Amino acid sequence: MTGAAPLQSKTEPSAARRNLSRLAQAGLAAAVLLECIIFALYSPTFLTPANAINVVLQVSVTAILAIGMTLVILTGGIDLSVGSLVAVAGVLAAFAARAAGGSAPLAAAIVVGLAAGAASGAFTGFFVTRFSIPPFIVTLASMSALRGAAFLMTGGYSVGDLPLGFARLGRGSFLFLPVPVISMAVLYAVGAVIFSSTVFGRHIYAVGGNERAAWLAGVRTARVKFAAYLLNGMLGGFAGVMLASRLGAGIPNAGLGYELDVIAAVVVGGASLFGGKGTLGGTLLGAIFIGILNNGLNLANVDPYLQKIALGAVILGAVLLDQKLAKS
Amino acid sequence: MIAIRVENLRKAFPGTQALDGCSLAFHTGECHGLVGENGAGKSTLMKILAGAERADSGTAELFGQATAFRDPRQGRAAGISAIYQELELIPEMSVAENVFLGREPRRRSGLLDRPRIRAEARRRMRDLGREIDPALPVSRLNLAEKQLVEIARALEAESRVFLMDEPTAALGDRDRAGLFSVIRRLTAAGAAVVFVSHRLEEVLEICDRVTVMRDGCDVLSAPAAELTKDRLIVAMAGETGVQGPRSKVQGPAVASSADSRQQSQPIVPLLETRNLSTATGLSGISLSVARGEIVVLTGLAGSGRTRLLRALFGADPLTGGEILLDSRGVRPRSPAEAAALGIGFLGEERRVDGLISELGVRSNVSLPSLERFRTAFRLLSRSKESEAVAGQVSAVGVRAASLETPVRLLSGGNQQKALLARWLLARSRVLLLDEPTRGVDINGKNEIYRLLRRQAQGGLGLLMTTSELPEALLLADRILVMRNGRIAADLPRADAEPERVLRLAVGEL
Repeated sequence: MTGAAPLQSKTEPSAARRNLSRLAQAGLAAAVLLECIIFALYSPTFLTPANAINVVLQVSVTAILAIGMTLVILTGGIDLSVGSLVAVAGVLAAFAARAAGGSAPLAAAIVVGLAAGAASGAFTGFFVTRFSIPPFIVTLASMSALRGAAFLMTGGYSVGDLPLGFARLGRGSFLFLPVPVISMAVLYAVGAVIFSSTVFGRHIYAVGGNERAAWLAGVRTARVKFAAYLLNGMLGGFAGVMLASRLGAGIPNAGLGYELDVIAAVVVGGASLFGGKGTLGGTLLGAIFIGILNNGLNLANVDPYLQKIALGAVILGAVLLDQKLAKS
Repeated sequence: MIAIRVENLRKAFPGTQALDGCSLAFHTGECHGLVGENGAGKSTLMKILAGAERADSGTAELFGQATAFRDPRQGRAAGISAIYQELELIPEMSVAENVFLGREPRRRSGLLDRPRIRAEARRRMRDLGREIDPALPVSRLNLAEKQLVEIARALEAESRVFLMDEPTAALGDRDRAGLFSVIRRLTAAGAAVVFVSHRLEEVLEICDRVTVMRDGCDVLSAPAAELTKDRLIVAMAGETGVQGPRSKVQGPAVASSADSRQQSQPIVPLLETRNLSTATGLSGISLSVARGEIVVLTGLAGSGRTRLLRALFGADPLTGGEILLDSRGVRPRSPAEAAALGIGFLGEERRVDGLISELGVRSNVSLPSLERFRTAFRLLSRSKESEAVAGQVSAVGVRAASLETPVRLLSGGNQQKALLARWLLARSRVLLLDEPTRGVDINGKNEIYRLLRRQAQGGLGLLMTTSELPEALLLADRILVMRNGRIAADLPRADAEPERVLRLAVGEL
């Protein structure tokens, strides 16, 4: 079919698909730019540094959750329980902070939050790999169970009155940047390295691209999927602690509906829900795009319900565009 | 009356001429047997008649009318039903619902007429000689009963031609007798039945007429009463099996390893099995593959060749016996373990078993070997990886625009070569190859033959399957004939004449 000369030893990133996904990402970046221009015209407060930081801050929890969701979606799975996990982790973190009192409440909170996330991720991973239950169903179940647990643990009340140190994760600053923004940057940087330059990252793409072929090529597909859910859980736990820290309390209602925003970010960013296709960069752009959309529409005083419709249209539009580009 | 007549049908797939001027006639009221080796063209002919494939050229007539179905539904509507080994029933629905699927009788209100559906279904089954509760979900029936439901469904659709592909493959004696009496009822009622099978005694028992196919055309057609099993086998094998019109395999270009091993290497067994049995139905498998040897598994479809390779690669569970690699007992429980032991595997369908279509050549080839390209902090070095892959890929001769080309854009032959490169890069010492030249054009095939030969000369042991006897004869140092999940014979190449191999595969020897 391609009767070209035998292989050149230099690798040239000339493959059609590579260019296309670059094009899609470039398109998304252009869309973000366009958004900024439009909203800047509509509202004078949009293009201020304070607002910019505000946007990224608001996006930070979703964006961190989106890292885990990208991982899971790449393997061809999904996680509907992240919103509920955020609540549970936040509540447990608050309890831990209270218990720790003066001595490193934040550290205690983070440890507990990560542990809760890991437990949830392991639970999902176990049922998905060992019993081959579709992730949609397992996480639908845990979405409900975790939310219930959050309410059960708190009796419906917020867990507040937390030691001062606890706030530093969500409301602190470091080198003039809010800690959540720094956390997000660090996690994305680490994530990008893992996705692109580790054996694990390659295996994720292989399993998502064709699980059976990956298995027959010697990839331990069950372990890879389990690890994806485990890491996703831990990221969810961390995000939950961060949110609780920002809010100043562990709130059983926190994170309600987050899973849809997170999936939207991943999908707008170019990932395929069938697995095997997607990048962290795309997810980040997707999260920012949606974040700016929400922020801009707010500043322009658009009816919040209309905003939701706009978001729906954007998601559909992004996927359609992505499909079109893929076919061309 | 002639139900179906085909004249000069031709059909080619990449790499092979499946039908090469086939002309046949099937009559009403007759059970017509169709026999031939793997690859002789029987399935292709059935698929064209049923509408699942279209012929490249030639004519087909159904009851005197020219036909060219675009899909199986048109075929069914015209009165042709195919009953394949993979049944097309819906397991969760009842017998009655399946029989009437798509043509449910309705009441005047438009709602389904359930009592009528049940009564009619019961009557149909009774006509076929079985008393089956029409309300039972199909999943609760055994295979023979499911086949009858399929036939009932075809009858309900007013089929007049029944194409049956290996219908007795999984039936016991009693069920087979039941099926035969159904076939007799069908032909007595004027239907035409085409009976494709490898089981020659059965064909001679139930069929009125038998046609032998070979290399894509009909070579013998006669009333069953005039035929014997022997005559059938001779016709199936042909006189010069190696140089059939279909196989343009180049002989001289590829030296056999027996020749090149004159410079004696001692025969060192690389892979051995002793009395291996698997959960997939294989038993008593004892074989050995030596360093530098190419061992070819032949046998009819379903004889166990693919299952054997999968079991050796840890893809199916073992229930007994031993596997030895370099005289050490091993028991790979997953492909990952097998790969770690130095075994490589090419599956039957590369698009499903081997390639990750969206990824590029580089990622596909390096997949089992990634650990070797790590540098600092256990991160992958893209340059190390590319260099190694490029080296292997050019050694093997993959033609692609670049290492990043998605593998789905490569030709079949290059895809297979890329998969070979994968396992060579992984430093495999044993290669398990399932139909390595399937869907590859003639030039690609020759390149792959040369490649395999070179690897054997370099000391690898190769165990491969093929459905093309000429290919086996070209490459093999030894030929293993499989039948019914066991090894029927282990022949050095010199003893493997086509007719003998076929008899062994069919169970005549």
